Amino acid sequence: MSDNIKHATFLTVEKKFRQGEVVVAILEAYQIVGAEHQNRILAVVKSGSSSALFSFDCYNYPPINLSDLHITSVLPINETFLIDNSTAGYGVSSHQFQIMSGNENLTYYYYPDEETLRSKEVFEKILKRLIQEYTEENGDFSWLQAYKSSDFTEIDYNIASNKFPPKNRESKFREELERRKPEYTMYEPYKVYCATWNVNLNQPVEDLSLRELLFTTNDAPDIYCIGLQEIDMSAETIIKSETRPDYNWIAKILEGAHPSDIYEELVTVRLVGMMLTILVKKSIRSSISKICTSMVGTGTLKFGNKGGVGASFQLNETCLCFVNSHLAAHVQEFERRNEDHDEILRRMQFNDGFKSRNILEHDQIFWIGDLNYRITIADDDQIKMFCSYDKWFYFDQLHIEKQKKRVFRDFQEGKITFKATYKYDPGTDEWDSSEKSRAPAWCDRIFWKGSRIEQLAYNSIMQLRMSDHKPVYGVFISYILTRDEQKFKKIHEEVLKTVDKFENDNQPQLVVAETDLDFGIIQYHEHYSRELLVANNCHLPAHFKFLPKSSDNQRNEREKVCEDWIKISHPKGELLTGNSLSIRIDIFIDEIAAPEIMKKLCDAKTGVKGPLDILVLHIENGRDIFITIFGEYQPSVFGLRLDTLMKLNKPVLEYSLKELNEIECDVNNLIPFYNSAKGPREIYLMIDYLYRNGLNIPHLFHVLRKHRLSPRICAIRDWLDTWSVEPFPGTPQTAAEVLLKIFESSPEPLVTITERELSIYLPNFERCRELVQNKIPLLNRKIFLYLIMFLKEIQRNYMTNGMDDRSIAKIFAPALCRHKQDQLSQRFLLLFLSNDIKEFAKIEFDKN
Amino acid sequence: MAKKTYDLLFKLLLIGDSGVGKTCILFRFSDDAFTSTFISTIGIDFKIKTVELRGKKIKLQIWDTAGQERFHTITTSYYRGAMGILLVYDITNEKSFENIIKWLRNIDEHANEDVERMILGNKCDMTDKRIVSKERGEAIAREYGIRFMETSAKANINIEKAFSELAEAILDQTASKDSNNENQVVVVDRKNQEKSPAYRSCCTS
Repeated sequence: MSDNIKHATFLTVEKKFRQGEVVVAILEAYQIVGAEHQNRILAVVKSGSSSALFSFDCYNYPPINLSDLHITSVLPINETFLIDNSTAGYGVSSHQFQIMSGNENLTYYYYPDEETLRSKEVFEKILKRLIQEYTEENGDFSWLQAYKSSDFTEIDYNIASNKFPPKNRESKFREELERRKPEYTMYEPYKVYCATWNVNLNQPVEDLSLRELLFTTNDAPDIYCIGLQEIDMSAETIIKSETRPDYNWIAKILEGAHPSDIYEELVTVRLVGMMLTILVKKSIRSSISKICTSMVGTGTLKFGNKGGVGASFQLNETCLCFVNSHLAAHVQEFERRNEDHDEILRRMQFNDGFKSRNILEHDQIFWIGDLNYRITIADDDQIKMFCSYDKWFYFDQLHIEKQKKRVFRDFQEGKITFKATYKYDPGTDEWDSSEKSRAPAWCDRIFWKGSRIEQLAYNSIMQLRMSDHKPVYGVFISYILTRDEQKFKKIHEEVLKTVDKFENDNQPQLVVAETDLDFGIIQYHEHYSRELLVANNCHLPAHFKFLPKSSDNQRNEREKVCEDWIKISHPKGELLTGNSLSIRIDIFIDEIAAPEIMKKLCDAKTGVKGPLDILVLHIENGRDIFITIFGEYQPSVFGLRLDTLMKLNKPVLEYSLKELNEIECDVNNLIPFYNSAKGPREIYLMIDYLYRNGLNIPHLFHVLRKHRLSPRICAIRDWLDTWSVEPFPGTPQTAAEVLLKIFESSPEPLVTITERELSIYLPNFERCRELVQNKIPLLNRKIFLYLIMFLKEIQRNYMTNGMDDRSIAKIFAPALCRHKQDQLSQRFLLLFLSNDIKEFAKIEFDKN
Repeated sequence: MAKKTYDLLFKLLLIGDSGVGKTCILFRFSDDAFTSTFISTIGIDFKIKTVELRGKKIKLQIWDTAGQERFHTITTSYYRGAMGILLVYDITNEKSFENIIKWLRNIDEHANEDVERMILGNKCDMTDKRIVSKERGEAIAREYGIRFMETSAKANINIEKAFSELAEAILDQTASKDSNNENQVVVVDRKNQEKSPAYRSCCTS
């Protein structure tokens, strides 16, 4: 950071603090947030005898405005304060340093240029001195409250800068509920009873009782997990990959369960010879959800004569998984057994319809079965004579492979104190006496994985003799994360409150400098403009738009944001945190607006000074702000009815709005005309001026209305509105423009003949003359004929002014008739321009 | 499955003359706080509060309107979406009470026909400045068949009660509507009935 920038930064940082708080040193650094480097300014600030380190997020670099800097952390420099470079590693992490105070531990990086290195050295020196100076007596950190009380931790700049969408209510709710989980959950002990037995194709005959296997404890287990192998290995079963549960066995299992409680079968899953049945106490059934099963056949044909079956469910808040597997047989095949194990791990998926999880994605896993690993030792007889696992475990393939982490990685097994479970002569406790004389092995095992599991028992049952395997059981206490419903209800309510607050606090907000915009006096044909300053001081991006005001009484009316004569520079937009925008509001009263605003003011009860309009500034997902447009419209001759102009006996400016309104409403002409001329003085003055000064001006009336926006029009307006005795302030061209504007701004058209009527009577001049006589009121008729006679004069000077009857008709037709299409009205005017109307006019002018 | 944070959403509207305490009532209800500095509401503000009624979580979205006269035409366009309207007057301000009639007419003209209404006589803690007696408030409420309560945002009197009674009235209305609908739905399409969120509490997992 160059000295200049550093100095400027220093000054900005200083402004963040109050009197008596001195910025001692600053250091530029950065933090890595996600994948992003974010600028930080670290500042050491001293107040009295205590000091603190402030970390600022630097929103714009270098910071110039106060809003460019946001506090991210405040660390009091006390006995726990430490700046530590020891965590630095290589590469970028060699620029890493840690700042600790109290429970906070923050990692920063410095920019490795020479300047920064020098300032870092000074910075550290100052910090170290301050740490030494700290004693408990001078440790008054109450001044920090002013900075801590602000909600700086709440602001997420990724959201503020519109990189990420803001969190919604639902996700905040889930997040809060998850965050407070420890408050409404606890671990409760459940007894899990696992048993595995290779039944060697035996049927569950009538006199078989599994009590001996399943009822070995005083307390009734909560969950039974019983895995059987080789319940049926017929060719048909194998080829069909039989998956229908064997209900005879399930019945036996239910019979054999602990007698002092009632159990129900939760789920059974079978694949060929393997079957896994889960029983649970009826009383805990309602705490179980998301039950699903899965099966994996292994071996070359994947029929399922070997492989595994599994069940998964959620008990309260804990996900449990049980797997029963039968791995590849034969002494030398331990590698295939490893492969089978890995294949089951890989392929077994539990899908509850919303989420699919594999075996390892459970909190607690119990894996049982005939795993088929053998003891590899030359002399079988030694095992048979002294069959203690303690003595032979070193030769146990499973032990060896697990040690090598090839199988059951991270699983645990209890201490084996029972005799080898294989292979016996069925019906006896004698070792296999067949010709093959298989060596004894601990084929049948129980493994588990997960925290909070304690094994209480691990044993075999010698007296169940029908198979060549002895069954093995394991008893566990498993601590299950459980929701305390009462506490949960309370916290749920609190979380809802938090979420309500969150939602209320997370409305995008905009601040407007003023809600009343006063335009002062507004005159016809002048430009007015005001700035509406809008700023986003909240921590969310804000989208705004001006809403149309829907008055539900007039649904058919086009919904408008504002009056047509008001223009908004930004009808909608977006403002990011810390940004502001100046919205320009323009007012321009033109020919169309003039009668509208007159009507609006006359209708309003509020009088001249009432609001001209109210704009609704809507902030998406937030409030609406009403912006009131004030202004005092000064009526002008533009926008008044033609007969009103005839009735004015003094300048229009000398009338009150109320008086003008009364005259405007006098449709029955109870108020006498002030003069008996052929038309209003304004029209007379313009035509008279043009007669004298304009007839030879080329393009006096211009098709493109070149003088439409001429500033002289305002001067002519004032001249007309005040009955000025000064010389005419305009030019022939502007006078011509004003003449058109008077016709255009009157509330009703001069020629009150419809398009339809014209279409019937054109091109017959006589009939059209009758139309004029019958359809146009006398005053308008007189003005019309007076105007036509003047226009004929213009036309007569075609050689000098270049205006033929066609271009005159083209310019005047829309102003006089205001039809949607101008063809007919142009033809109508042409008819009058090309026929003699002197007689007709004379008769009409004499009428009263 | 994603949990919804509420079962029903009710939109309520606060209307009444400027300065009767509409914003304070809302602030007391949503943030349980009170400030005596008067800041005129220039627009439409809203706050959220979730309440539990008869085992249902009801999210109240409460719109606070500008009371100033010049905004009346604009604010009436916000009436239509409201399911309940709280009409507030100030017991220390006769004019605000007299205007109740005008406000009621506004409601008739612009709000939904079945909107639930309630009149609140606010600032009832200011007994020494009272001008409108409770009896007059009750009388006008009786006349129009509307619920009535005297409240104080400052002293936190009847604020919660006012909102929950109004919400309950709306709940009664929706419940009776639902039972009507339910009968029809059974005949027409059972699936729709299951999907309709109104019958089902979404907060149990």
